[in-house]
Amino acid sequence: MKKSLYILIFSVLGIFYIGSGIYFYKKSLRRQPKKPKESVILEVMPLSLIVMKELFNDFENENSLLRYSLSTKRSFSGKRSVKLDSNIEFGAEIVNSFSEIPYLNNLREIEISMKYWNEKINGEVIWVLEIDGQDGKLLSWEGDVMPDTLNKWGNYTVRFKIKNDFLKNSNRVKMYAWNKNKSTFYVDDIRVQFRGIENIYNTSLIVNNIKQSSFHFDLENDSLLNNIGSLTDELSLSGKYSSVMKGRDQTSVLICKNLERVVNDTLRNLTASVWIYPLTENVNCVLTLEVRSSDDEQIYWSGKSTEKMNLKARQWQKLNSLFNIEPEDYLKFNPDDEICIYLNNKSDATVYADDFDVSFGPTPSRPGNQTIVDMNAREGGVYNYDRYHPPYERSFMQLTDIGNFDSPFLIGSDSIAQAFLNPYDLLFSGNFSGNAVLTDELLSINSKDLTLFHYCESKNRFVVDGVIPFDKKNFPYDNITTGDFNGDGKNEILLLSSGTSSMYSISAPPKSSCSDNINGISLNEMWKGKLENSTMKYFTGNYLGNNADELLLAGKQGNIILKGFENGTWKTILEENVPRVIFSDSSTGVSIKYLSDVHENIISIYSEHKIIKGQILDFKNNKLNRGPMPDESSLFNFFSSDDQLFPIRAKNSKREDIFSYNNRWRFELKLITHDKKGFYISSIPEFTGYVSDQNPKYYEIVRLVPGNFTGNKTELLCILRNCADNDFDGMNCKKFDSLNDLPNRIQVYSLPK
Amino acid sequence: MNSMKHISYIFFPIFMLILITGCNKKKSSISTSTPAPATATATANTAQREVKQSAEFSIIDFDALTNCTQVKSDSLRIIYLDYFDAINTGFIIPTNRQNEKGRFLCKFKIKNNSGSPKRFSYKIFYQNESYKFPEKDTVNGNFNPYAFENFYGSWSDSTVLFRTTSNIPSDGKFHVINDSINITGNPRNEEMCYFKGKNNRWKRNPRVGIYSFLLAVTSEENIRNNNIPSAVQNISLRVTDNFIHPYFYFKYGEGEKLNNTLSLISKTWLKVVANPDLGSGIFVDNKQFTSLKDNRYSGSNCGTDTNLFRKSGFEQFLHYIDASTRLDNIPVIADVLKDNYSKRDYNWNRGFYSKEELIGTTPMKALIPCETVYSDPVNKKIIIHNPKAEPAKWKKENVGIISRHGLCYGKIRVKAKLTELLNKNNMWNGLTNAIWLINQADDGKWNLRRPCQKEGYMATYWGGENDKRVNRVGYSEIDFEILKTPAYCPDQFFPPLYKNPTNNPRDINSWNTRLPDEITSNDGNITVACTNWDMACWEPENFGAGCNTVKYGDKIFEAHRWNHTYRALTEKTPAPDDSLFGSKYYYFEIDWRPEEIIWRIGPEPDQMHVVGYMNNKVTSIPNNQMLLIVTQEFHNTKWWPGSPYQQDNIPFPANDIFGEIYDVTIE
Repeated sequence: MKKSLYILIFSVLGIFYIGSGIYFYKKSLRRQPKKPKESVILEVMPLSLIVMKELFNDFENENSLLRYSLSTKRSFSGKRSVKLDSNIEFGAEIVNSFSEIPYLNNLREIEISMKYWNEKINGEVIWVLEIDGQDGKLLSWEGDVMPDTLNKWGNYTVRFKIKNDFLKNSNRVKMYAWNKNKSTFYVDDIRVQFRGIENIYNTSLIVNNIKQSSFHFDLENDSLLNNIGSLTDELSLSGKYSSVMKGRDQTSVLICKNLERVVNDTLRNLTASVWIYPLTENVNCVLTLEVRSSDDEQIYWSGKSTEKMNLKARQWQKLNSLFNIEPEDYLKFNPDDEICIYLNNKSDATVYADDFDVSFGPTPSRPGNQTIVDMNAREGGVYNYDRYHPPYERSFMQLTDIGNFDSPFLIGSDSIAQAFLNPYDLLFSGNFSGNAVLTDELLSINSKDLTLFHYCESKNRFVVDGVIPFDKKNFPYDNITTGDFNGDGKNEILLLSSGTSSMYSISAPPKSSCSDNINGISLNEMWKGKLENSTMKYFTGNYLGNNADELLLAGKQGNIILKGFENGTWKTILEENVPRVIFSDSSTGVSIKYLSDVHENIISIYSEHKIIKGQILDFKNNKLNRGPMPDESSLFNFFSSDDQLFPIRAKNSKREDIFSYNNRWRFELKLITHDKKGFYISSIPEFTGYVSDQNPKYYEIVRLVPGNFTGNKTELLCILRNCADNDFDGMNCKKFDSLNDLPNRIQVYSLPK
Repeated sequence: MNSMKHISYIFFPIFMLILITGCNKKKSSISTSTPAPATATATANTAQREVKQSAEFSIIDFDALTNCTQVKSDSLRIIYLDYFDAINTGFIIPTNRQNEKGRFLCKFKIKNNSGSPKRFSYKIFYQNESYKFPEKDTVNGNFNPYAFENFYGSWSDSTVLFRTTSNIPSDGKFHVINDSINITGNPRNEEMCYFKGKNNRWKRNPRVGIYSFLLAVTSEENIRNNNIPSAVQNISLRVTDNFIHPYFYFKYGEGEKLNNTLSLISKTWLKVVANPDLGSGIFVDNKQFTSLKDNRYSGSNCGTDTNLFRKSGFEQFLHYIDASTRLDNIPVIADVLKDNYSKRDYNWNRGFYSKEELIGTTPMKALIPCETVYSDPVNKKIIIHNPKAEPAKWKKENVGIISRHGLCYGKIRVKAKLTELLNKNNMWNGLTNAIWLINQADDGKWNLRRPCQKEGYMATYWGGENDKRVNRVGYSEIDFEILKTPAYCPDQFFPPLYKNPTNNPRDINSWNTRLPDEITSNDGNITVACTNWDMACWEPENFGAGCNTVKYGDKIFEAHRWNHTYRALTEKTPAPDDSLFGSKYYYFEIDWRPEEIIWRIGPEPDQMHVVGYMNNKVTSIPNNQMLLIVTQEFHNTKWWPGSPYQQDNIPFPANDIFGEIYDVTIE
């Protein structure tokens, strides 16, 4: 009896001991050690921009003696710190190769924080971040002055933004203190965080404050995971690795996120799925959602069990779960709480898990305030369009066959596939050769060549008139514009440069054939000289109503200069000061026949205190009139200062309307017209005639060139590209990506008449 | 009731055979030498030359359908319900349009065994045998009270009790007695069907299916001495609140033991089928339209006139539009079925319209009578269409037809080509094709379901979890709803995980998110959702919430109910859209029986397969009179959690969307 009692007591203690061991072992797996003695990778964990890599040094390691001027006189933690004094100008150096940073392309900033102590006011210690190239060449140097602490330990944190250009594995970053005044100075506990955007399959950008909230984890990389000890290459659903739970109460990898990373306010629901491979049937696993506070206290738990699902043995089976969190729970959550998803094995069998998907929160709500139209409130079910409010009428642009077999090339027939136009090229339409009377030619300028195209009706395709070498060495420019400045009916090419500007015309033999690369095309210099300030914002148009176009230069200081090309040189016609804001960097504009059907006006759109405003410039009798449109912001509501604006001939009128294109939030075209009451959106043009669902507005890069290429109508030449770059920011794409179901294209659409 | 549940109506003829064989053993009966027709059913064969004999008389050769010429088999006659004026009179079987007298001529032979001339008393009863509860409890042999719900009757004038024969000489010969009978609604002349003194027999229409006829003959003394209860002689009378079922009384009850009282089943049986003429026009209920003056689409085959009122089997159905169905719809008009509309189109439109641009609306119903429904008198079909939207006339308008004559139980089979739901990209056009039954006119107490014996029903179909419970309720609904939505069961697959888009125009993958594998693996399938609205009556012994299996033969269905107060039980089966709505036509059948409901679909009536099954162990089967509705509806997908496409993000239709109904047969 007594023996049995002992056995029982020891059994209970044993179970408790083993249970505790398992608990602490599990905990140790989840919360990995954070403070090693050397500058080593601690862990990869998500923060606001997620921390891709972290280094920490408390200088307690003796091996560092050779590298650091260590001192035991002061220390914030432990016994040592780094000392800089009158003999040591540079110190506390940390060097890291970019090749050691996972997902380098996602890196956006480096944050350095430390404890420091200085013994002198105005000691001027500068914390420096250098980026060196492969050959040790200095690529970037940035410094930040550290404030004084005067004989006490202070906190210092600095962040350096890292440009994409520097994100090469061959580069390295060097961080150190520059003791400029050689004062006595101590540094301890330096922490360096390499922060970047998350490596996710959905997107590399966060747009309109919509948080990235869908994640796929194929477990092929252990970054962003906890309990990575469970990863195994024994079997997997995808790739090579899965997470194994060999027995009861084992957990899979943990996918943890800070709340503020994944939802805009709080987490009301979460959907998760995981593939499960049990070695025996009817295993019980629980797909678990756990929320822990910043001090590691569990504040929410929910799970979906497979107990009644009759899971089969040795098969990958999917488990989906929706976690709806009640208000009494989610109201307790804080932005820095951590949400973890994992699979918990409640059976004795071995279970593998792979390919987690997690989607936080509901589908992001649409931008905007509220629906304006209520069809139920309308008698007869008919809505009268409101010129000032969406939804607007739609019009349709029809695809024009340009004989390129809907290819990525402008010319894709007659066994020719050429002119894979780059959307970042300079592209102009107009009559450059003098041959285009009823139609427009297309002029393309890249860093090497100038190429002229025209559409040949008999061949039903574009042809190349000619290619002229056009390197920047021989043709320097900051900007290029075109116009018929001398009134000869042809468009000239004006190269605006901070140095010497120049103007050229294209000579070509009279149009006689549709042959490609006709002989005799050349570039003729018409003028070379200095313009007032070629970096000013510029507009070209026929502002005076004569036969020639003028050049308007607008400075940020508010001065505008109207120049005309007469007798082989540019002459100032008018000079005046206007409020500078209307021609700021963030303004846009267009020259259209707005007030007159003879001469053009400049419609200038600008942003002032986040309110879109506009002005109409009218040149009459050699005098500038601003207006007559009053400066009423509501009249310009339909514009944005980053719109691309094109003139388009108005219906049954010699005056022109405005075609507006913007791709800030979405691909958006607007046909903006005007009457006595001002501007309004007459329609939203949509594309029709494209193959399958390859709508031009779905492309990541859409370059539009207006012109009259194939006949007497307004057309849009569309260069449609997708980008293969992971870090594509919408501005520059290094590598285009032709998707199978959305291949790169060059198309022409005719605008609604 | 539960003890009866195992009896399947598939075995009905065998059951009848046993029943009648049983009767033969109790009564001294003499079989004649006339051979039974080889093709007759076993039940009828046995009865065909059956002689029943008592001390005073013998009876033989009871045939209730001597003038019913349309023959299904030797012992089975068939008749189709005559819809003309049935809206006023209820169905009458037969009508005077179907035979000269508007009655079935019945005859039997009687032989006087008493030794002196005598008159004898007799009465003819009928009962629907296809859709009935057995009269006798198979466990204790007592009367099964659910059999009171059976459709049985006698001469429609209930004041005519037992009729008396002329003086029958006791000459050792059988003498022919002729009479007639018809089947009408409300055969027990129940008060609940009366309104302002008029017996609205349509409130309890005759059921479709097979009818038997029972002849009861007794001596005049038994009538005179009230040996037969008055509630048997007059079936409209009750004894302590209950009727007396004549079939039970004469076959198993006291009548079976009563001296000089015999009963005999007619050798011919009657099959009643409803097959409304879809070309006979569509009636319009003027109460439902506010713009009745707009008659531009009305005409002789669709409208409000009296002729259509009397003859049409269907009327235009106008949906009740609940405010909760409000949509904030993308301002896009497209023909999803024809315009190559793709998932990418869907995703872009989902992501890149702001709230101000959306069109607030609810699914609409027709404003002008007859605009969207058409009865084709030549091809005898009904064509319905959801009308197209136009710029500034954005609408998603539901369309449908509803039958006008309520029926209880039946195998309701619809041959139709309703609109395709998916296009070649397997993108959904937002419509739900529905073939469903709903209780007839729940504005009165005449059409309530039987009491729910456990806690009662939820009082309203639209109320929430805290709705009060009531003993009886009028609402009943049995649905085919066919749309693009995933199954709720098995539990591990629900809900599918849809990635949230982030709508970055510079990254296609941010807005063009892929659907999960479990959805794409069913890409070409739509879901056939079979639902019974049981109003959360907890009486069924296996009532449950969540996913629960229901077996039917070797098939296992997963029935789903959100919680214990949820009023409907649903089973979902995936099926190819191309088959159901891409072929020339397809059949949809709701086999509504007293103790089970079977949903079937198939390319032909003899190639149907079961896609849903429920019985009274898992759900309360309705027993009130219902109407058939065929609709093409725009549902708010919030009703269908887990749906891959949300109604708000599906364009308004650019073209009319047609559906055609070729045949409706209820048998």
